[in-house]
Amino acid sequence: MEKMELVAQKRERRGKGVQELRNQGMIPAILYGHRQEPIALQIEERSLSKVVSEAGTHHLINLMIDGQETKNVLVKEIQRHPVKGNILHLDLYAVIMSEKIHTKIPLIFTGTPPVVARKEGILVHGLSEIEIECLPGDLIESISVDVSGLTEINQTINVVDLSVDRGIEVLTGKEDMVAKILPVVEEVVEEAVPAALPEEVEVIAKGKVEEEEAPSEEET
Amino acid sequence: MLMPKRVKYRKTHRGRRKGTESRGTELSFGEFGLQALEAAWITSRQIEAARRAIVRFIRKGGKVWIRIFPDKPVSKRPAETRMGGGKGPVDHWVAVVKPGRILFEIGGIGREDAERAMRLAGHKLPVKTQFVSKQ
Repeated sequence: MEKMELVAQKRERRGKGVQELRNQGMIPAILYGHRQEPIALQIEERSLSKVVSEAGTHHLINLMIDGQETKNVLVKEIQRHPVKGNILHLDLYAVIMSEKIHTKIPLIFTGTPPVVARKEGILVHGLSEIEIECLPGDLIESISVDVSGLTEINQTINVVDLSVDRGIEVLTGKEDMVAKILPVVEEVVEEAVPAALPEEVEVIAKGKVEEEEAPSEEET
Repeated sequence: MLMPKRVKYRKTHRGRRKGTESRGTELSFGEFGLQALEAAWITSRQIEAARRAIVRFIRKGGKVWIRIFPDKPVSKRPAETRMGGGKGPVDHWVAVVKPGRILFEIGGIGREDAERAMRLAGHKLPVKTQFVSKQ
């Protein structure tokens, strides 16, 4: 797997001061790891967006800090703006090449199930990525899932059915659903049924009882 | 229409809807979704209308997930009543939505169909919306 390059500088600004950094086109980040003191960093937004979109959380990145030291890092967490989608903050994890790491690998779905091609079923994806444990050198880009073998309604592919390389341990639950064929259900146009009146909703208990109970919950 | 089966308190305060959504901002079930760009109270009728618009369009095929639930009661005084006498009875239920919230998700259909279905649903809602996908 080819390594990617990223340049970062040590960051002095902390707390709410980082908003000013963002206005200047720099993204605040933190680097941490096993036997690694946390270092506050700032990275140029344009180069970071490009690297993050390609690397995701499963690709080793060569991080150059202040032009002096270089570290192998993985993107651990990305905080994005809920509407704009731009990166607000980044967690980087410094890996030790001889120590196993936990990370998430994306699943790539290939093929078309014959049931779906005949429009008798709907293919629903359960997981889009799975969590694995492996040495940093054994990391893979993605796991391919061939769904063309799904021939019946309600047939599923679970995590246990995925084929992964040796040296990679899957941590996601073995019985978790990856893909499933659901039957096609056509919406029946209902007659206008009078809905329950809003006032008819049951109230669990009188308000006063809960007010008395509430302080005791806060104390514990 | 969606409404709670049981509630702890019959009526609630109106509250404030400042800022952006912090939860429910990413696609969890389907490949495509409809995201709110404004804050609003979305009533159970509007949710149902949007859901019907999606289901009618996709007909056979595709699965729809509703990511919001109207759990906030809205009270209203009966028509032609004098002021006083306490808070009015519950009239309808709303979901409090802030910018960034994923409202609907859809899976099992192509991008073009999903985009058109979500556009129809967006017209039934009192907020500006945008189409989002996992890629």
